[in-house]
Amino acid sequence: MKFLDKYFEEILLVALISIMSALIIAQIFMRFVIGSSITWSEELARYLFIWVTWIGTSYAVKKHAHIRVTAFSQKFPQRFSHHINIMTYIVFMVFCGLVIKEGIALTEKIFRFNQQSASLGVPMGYVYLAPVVGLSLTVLRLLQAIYQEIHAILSGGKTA
Amino acid sequence: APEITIKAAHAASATNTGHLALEYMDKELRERTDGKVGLEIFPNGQLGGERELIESIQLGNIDMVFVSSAPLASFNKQFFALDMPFLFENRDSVYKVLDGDIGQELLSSLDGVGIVGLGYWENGFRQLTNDRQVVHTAEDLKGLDMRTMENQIHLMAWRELGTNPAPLAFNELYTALQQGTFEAQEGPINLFRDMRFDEVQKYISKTNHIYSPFVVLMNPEVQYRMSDQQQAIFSQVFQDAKAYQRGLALEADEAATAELVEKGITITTLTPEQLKSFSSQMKPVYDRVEDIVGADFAKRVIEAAQ
Amino acid sequence: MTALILFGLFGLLLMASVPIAIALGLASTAALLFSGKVSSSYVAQGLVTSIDSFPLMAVPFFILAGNLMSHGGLSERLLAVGKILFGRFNGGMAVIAVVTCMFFGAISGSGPATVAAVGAILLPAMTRNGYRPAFSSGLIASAGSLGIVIPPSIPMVIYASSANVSVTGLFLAGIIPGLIIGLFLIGYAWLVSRREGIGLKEPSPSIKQALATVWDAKWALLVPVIILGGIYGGVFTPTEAAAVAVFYGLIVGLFLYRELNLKSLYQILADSALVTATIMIIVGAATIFGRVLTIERIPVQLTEWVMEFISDPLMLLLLINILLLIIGTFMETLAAVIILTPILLPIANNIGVDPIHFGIIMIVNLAIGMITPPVGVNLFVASRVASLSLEKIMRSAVPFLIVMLAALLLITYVPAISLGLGNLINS
Ligand code: NA
Ligand code: NA
Repeated sequence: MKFLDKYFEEILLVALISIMSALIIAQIFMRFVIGSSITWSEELARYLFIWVTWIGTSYAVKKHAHIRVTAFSQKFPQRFSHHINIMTYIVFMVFCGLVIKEGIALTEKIFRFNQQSASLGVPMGYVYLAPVVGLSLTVLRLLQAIYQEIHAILSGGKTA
Repeated sequence: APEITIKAAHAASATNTGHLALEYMDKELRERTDGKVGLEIFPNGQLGGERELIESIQLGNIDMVFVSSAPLASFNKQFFALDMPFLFENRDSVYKVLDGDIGQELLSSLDGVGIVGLGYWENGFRQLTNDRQVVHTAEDLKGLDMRTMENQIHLMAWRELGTNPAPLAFNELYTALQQGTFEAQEGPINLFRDMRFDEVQKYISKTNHIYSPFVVLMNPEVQYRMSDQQQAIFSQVFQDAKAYQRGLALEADEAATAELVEKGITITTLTPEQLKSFSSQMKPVYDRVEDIVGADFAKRVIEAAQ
Repeated sequence: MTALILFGLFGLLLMASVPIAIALGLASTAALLFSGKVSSSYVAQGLVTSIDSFPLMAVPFFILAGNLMSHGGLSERLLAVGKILFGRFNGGMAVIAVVTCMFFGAISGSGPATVAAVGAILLPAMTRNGYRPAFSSGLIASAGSLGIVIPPSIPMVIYASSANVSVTGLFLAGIIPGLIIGLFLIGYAWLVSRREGIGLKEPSPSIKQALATVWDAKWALLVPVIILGGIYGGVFTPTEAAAVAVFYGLIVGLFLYRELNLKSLYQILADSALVTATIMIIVGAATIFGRVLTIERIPVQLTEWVMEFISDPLMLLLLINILLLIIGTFMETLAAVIILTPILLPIANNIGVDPIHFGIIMIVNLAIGMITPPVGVNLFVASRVASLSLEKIMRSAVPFLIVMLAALLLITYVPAISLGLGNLINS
């Protein structure tokens, strides 16, 4: 459990971004050196890229890496910083909730209408699953972060 | 503003004949419904590329679109039948298929995936263009690095003909042709002119290898927003727009050809024997299409096109 | 009203320090829900389709390549060579940064990819040499926007097609303005470096030392050769070039300089994925925000409203610039070109502006939009790559912004800067 908590997104991301790079490198090699293009590599790499983005969104919550403007919130007294963080996490969760709800309906429809990718012929539903899965993980990470902030408030607001 | 606004979108330019046809529809609809029904048009892929637009029809985010048939095949494989190379000899044979039973069957088959197929406008016959040499026969294609659409039948056909085909984002194509990453591409002559490919390609061979229609699609919900009378008017306006658009497309094709010749592009018309050197190699491609759409359907399409 | 919700909610959430991507996404969703023009499933769909783009993949690849080169010992050696060339001058490294951005931007054609790659390579080294991190990040974020001004440039291809002008002509017209903006940035960086006394100020090395440094850097020096040669030689597209840079950086770092090992490689991959995700989620959300602007016809209405008041050509041109700057701040470059060209070009034609010149004006404006807060994608990338707060980067970008605006004014009111080269070649 501890291992999963620490490495789950990270290992997934390392694998995804490695395959993504290898695919494009292979594609160039095949076209230029062998003279015969792989026609599905670009498509697969693109879809992995989408998964990297959405799994990475969860990883970025864990790493506190999401880009935001803190100039205004910093004007509040230091002791409120945890409360402000909790509030931003909740807003983040609202967004996740909206997208997950719409995303599930969307993915279900796309699976049902059986749209297939142009080169590989795989169901496009798997691509649309990326934000649903990524943001579900994100919700878990946000709950974790909120828990840490509450803990910090209760223990005197020194550390998060 | 009209009571019923139909949101129409497409990925072509605002000077494209398809766009002009939508504007025509908007004008006619307003006139014939006392201003109660009209279109709001989003050109240039403002609301997404063709694949995304078709999807938006299914999801009900957009009311009406026109797209080429190639991306439609991802939604309904029967459309691969239109990608059989060298299927159509001329426009008469195109209209026989598209406006006849086959075309209607294809449109009706979209019902199952949440799309109403309205009919076919014209994108154009696709031509081969390159920057290396005048291409007369398939012999001249050997090893040509070529950009194609992301469609397995197109890719397979060009591989059979000895080129080295690969898909590429259309946005990137000009630069890729300029720098020589690709030496050849294929598409309607109109689009070639609009995208300024004449600055980076010298030779056009009139292969007419595939006819690309614009397939006009609608979200099924839209008809319920209109009264019976308005629906009847809409159908009539669509039919009028079809004739109007096809006329414009033909003119645009001829105008583009004349303009390109003037600019010094070598446009080569191929003899039936020369075309044969391409089409005679298409057996494996036709077999593949048969596998996908069913031998019966493929046969019927081929017969209807004769 | 919809516009108010869109911008109001975005501003509010931004001030509440909600992540920018979430602020953009929520504001877009709320605006769609309010206007009811499109169902909000449009947002869920757009979060996938807006990043489903091969050209965009240059961003993760250049980030990865930059990290590999920086940890694999390539960047350091490249810099050592740079020092030989520019080391005698105050702010020499700042000059290197701008020139590198111009080269890199020229080929990648992408602002964010340029900032990611050049930032990862040069920022640590610049800090080590006494440059304030905020200053160097602001500099690289600004210079990175030159990618769409210096050809080749996808936004120019799109403009040319909708304005019905020659792409080659437009590419040609972009060269001098790109160089001028570059020179302006170099000039400013040089002034600051001199005033603050930063720079390398190292004694010139002997010929022998210099040769030894160059020899040591031979593998690293091949990077620009491979990338530039590969693209201009037609071997690969810019995105593929980025992937080749990844491959090459990996091989050299692992086997030739041997400064990479599997453990550091794992960390580099994870970090690159993290940076990629934080940037791409903003790009995705910003695209949706732009689409909502389009659906609600806000740019068109704004333009029509503004144009009613002015008839003086010079003022009108100024106003068009301001409008482009505002829209460029909130919209992705390509989308802005697609929407604005048909509205603005006829106005420009009316007051006698050459369509190619106008294309350059538009592209330069949109390039500046990449570093204009609050939605300046280059600033986000710089903030991630430099691990600095966004506020610091935004503040440090202001002087560069002013410098670029000065260049913009010059380019706007002196058509010869854009058109001179083309006229020279045609005559
Ligand atoms: Na460029
Ligand atoms: Na911006």
